[in-house]
Amino acid sequence: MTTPRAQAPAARTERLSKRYGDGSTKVTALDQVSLEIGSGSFTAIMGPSGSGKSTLMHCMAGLDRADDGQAWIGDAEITVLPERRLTQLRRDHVGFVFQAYNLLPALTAADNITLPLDIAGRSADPAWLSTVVETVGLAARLRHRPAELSGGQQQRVAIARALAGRPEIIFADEPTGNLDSRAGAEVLDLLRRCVREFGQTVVMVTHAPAAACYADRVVFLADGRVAGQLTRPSPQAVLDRMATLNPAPGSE
Amino acid sequence: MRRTVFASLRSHRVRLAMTALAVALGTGLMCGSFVFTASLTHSLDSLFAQASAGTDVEVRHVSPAGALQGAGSAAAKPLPASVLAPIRTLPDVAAADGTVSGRAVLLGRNGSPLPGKFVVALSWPADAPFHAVFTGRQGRPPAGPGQVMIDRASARTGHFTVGDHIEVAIGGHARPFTISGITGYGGADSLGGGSMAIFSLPAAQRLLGQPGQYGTIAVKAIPGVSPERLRAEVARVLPAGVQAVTAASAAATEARQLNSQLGVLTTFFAAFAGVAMFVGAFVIWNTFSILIGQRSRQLALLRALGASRGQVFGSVLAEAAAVGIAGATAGAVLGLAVSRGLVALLSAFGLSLPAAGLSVPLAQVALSCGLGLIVTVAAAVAPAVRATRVAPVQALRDAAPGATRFSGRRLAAALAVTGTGAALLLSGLLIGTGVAVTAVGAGLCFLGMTIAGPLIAGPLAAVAGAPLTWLPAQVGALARGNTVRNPGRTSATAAALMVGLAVVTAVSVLASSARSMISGQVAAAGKASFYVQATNTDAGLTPTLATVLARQPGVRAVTEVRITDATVAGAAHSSVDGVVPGQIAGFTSLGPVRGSLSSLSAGDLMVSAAAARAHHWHLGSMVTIGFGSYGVSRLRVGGIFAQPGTLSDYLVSNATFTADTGRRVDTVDLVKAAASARGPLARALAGYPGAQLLDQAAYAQTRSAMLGNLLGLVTALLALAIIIALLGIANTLALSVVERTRELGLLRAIGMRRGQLAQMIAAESAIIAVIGAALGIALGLGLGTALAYAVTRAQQPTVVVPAAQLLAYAVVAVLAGVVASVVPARRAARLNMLDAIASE
Repeated sequence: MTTPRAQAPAARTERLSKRYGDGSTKVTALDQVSLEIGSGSFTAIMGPSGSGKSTLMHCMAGLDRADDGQAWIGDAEITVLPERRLTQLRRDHVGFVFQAYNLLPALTAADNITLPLDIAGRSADPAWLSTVVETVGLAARLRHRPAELSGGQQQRVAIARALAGRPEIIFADEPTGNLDSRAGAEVLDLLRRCVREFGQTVVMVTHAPAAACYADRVVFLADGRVAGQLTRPSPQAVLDRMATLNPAPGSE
Repeated sequence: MRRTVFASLRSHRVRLAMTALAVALGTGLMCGSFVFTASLTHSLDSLFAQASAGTDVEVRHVSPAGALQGAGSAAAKPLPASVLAPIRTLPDVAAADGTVSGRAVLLGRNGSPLPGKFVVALSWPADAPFHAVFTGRQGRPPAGPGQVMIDRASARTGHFTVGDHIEVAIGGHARPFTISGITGYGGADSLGGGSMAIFSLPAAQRLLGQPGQYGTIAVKAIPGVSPERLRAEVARVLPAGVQAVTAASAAATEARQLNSQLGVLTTFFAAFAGVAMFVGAFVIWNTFSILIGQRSRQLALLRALGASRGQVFGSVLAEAAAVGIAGATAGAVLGLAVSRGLVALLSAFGLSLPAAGLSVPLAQVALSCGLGLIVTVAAAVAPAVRATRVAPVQALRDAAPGATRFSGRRLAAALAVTGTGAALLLSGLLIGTGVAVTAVGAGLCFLGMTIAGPLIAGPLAAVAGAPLTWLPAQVGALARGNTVRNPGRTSATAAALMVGLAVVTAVSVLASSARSMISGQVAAAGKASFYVQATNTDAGLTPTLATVLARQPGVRAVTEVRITDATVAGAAHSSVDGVVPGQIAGFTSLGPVRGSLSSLSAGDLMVSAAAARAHHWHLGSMVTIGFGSYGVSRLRVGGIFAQPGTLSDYLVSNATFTADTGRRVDTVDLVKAAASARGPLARALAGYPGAQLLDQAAYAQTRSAMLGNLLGLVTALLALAIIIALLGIANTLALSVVERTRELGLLRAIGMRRGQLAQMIAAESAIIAVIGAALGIALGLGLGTALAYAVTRAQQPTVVVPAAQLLAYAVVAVLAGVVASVVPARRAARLNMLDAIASE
């Protein structure tokens, strides 16, 4: 099922800045970052520890407030939205996948998947739901609780949860960080299929070059600034670029 | 290890402060009841000492040993006037005066009684030494039949000054007087909070029906003669049956007697303090259990680093001890405030006591604090043992809360403990093995339910949460899931509320059953259409009122009933009624009678069949009845009647009653009349402000009004236990909010609004409260049914469930549960989303 999308970007930032602390402890996490995320694209954000990649994602997703600059999701300028509208926007237009899965242990896999729709009071489109469940390969596990699932299965539930509401954009924060390489590859493949088959926009923060290569485009971040990008990246190209950003390899 | 204890205390200070507050409330109630009693004793002592100031020796009738004086009990037997003259002639006597005293009612300008605890009618002593206690006098002492002196407090509340007219009712009959003077008493404006109406001696003797007699004779020694020497001297000139006591020992005896009655109150309050501490123990146990659960990784790390089990155990107990010490200390301070509150509470429920100065019994306060500390540490033992079982390897694993599995052993233990408890409870109530057995039985029932808790909390939470699932945004379903997920915690949190509500429910069932039994008896046996009752039992109704009532149009017959408090065959505070034997059967059905009603006139006693059965009496048995300080009578059982109806279990003729008690006033007049007589009767009572006209239903209600007051008092005291339980709910929720930081953060990230998150926490609280209320009311119904049956079975086994009232309790408990969730819910709503998602 492919949905033709307008050419307008799914998300965009304009000179976005974020600082932590003040005085001598002041740290600039984001320094005038301007970025555009094309609709239906799979973007990886990479950078060494402390480069600001997680902060960028949080500010773009409306989880955190930037100090300066603007950010949009679709047509909505989230940097000026009041808290309540922002919550609503996240609920209806943004999907999340976290490193630690963040499923609710009290709910079954099925209930976890429909949770954002339930919170919004929307009823799920059964055809779309079964497509999603089939895609993530969890049809046999829907009645299980998170504690009864493996890490990879839990992350696939999280991806299904993000897809269920057909959001404008999905943000994935180190989605393979807690997984072994095989389960990680399955999850990345799944994210790529979401983009290819459903035209879903995905932004993924990662520090693993192998993971970044599943994306259409890699944006490199260093010291809170955009430090270049690669399209259709190969692992070697990503590694080389990372080496130039990383003065002390292995500190990660 | 000491450092880790301090660090832990610091990092959980709010939770532990809440726990300490639970300890403080229980300890405070216990300390407060001790302070209350000590203060009361102190103020009674000083009151009686004040009353005897200026007097060295008192002469009065010999009172039986251990005679108790309750409300409406007999006055002291009067002394003949001839006793006074020989005393006055003794060489060491400076002054000797006879006085009489009784009860009266002061009426305000609008004709209704002035507010006040009681009014003492006194005679003005003739000699100056005895005037010392009447301080700050204005005007003149009463002289002649139409004058009265009143206390300054009453003058102030009634806006009276010297020279004004005032109506004073004695025996229910109002008479006009002129205020000749106004006086204080000792250092105060009134007599220990009571009012005074002081008449000249002849006027008082006539008004109180003791012409030519004295209640007591006060004697003052000449300088240099000790009270003891004077007492011995006076005693030599007294006739048999009259005694001389030093004023100091008389005051001490009276204070002690009153105090021994009030000792019941201390026991009563201490029992509630016990319930409060029991509930507090649940809160402590639960808080520590959760803290240990949350810290299992940290504890495992300590163990991995080489801490021994003993050290881990000790560190948890040390933490509990710190909480206990803080809580108990705060409780001791709180106790001072509580003692004041108890005085206010009692007066709100109709039991007024002299204003008490604060007196702190250190030993008992220390005992309460020690108990608070012990309860805290004991409640933390089980969690501490659990802490020692944390394996070092758990430091390396992700600690997921273990699901509670169905355990046959737990079920067996729960059934065994509950069964034993129920058996003990029933044996205590029905076979009479004692109050202690009953209390232990009730305690075991609570314990059994608590053991069973984790098994039943899951299904109960699922049921209780079902109606919440329609709440939008999955709020109710999530709340239900959270309470079902951790049934152990849910049940431990609900258990505290369960105990409080169970006791409230049991007391309500008992009270409503007893009330229904009384009104049933009145309705079944009462043949009278109206009841004219004294508003103040002590003041009573003048017997002339009965003749006045009988003259009203529509009235067919009137009979007089007198009621006194007496000690029957050793049982204090039994009611004995004086009746007119030839008339009474026409006004209330006594059922089949063995023996004859007319035999009552011969100074005999009639007893109810229930009382006869309980004491193994039969016709001709001799029964010993103590009528307060008036004397002890031995009466022969001349008749046994089947149903007491509106009367008490013991009936004597009014002639016997007056001879044995000295009381000449009626308590209630029973009137048989057409319904149309109500108007004339009400008009006839206009001149008798101490009398009220009641129909059958209203009369039944006044007879059971005491029960209503008792219920109110008990509920007010138990409210404290319920507040402690709610603190427990708030504490548990706050801890679980911390525990679920990540879950809550995720819900916010994927679009749940702050308000919805707060609703979810409130829904969890409501589910827990519903479980606590449901279990508590169920358990309370069982307890209350057993109690009500045991108490009423001697007369008419009655069990009435006050359904509306119980429903109200449940609703209040659930609403309070929602209120308890406010703080944790706000905390959850304010969580920083990013911290929440990142938190490990």
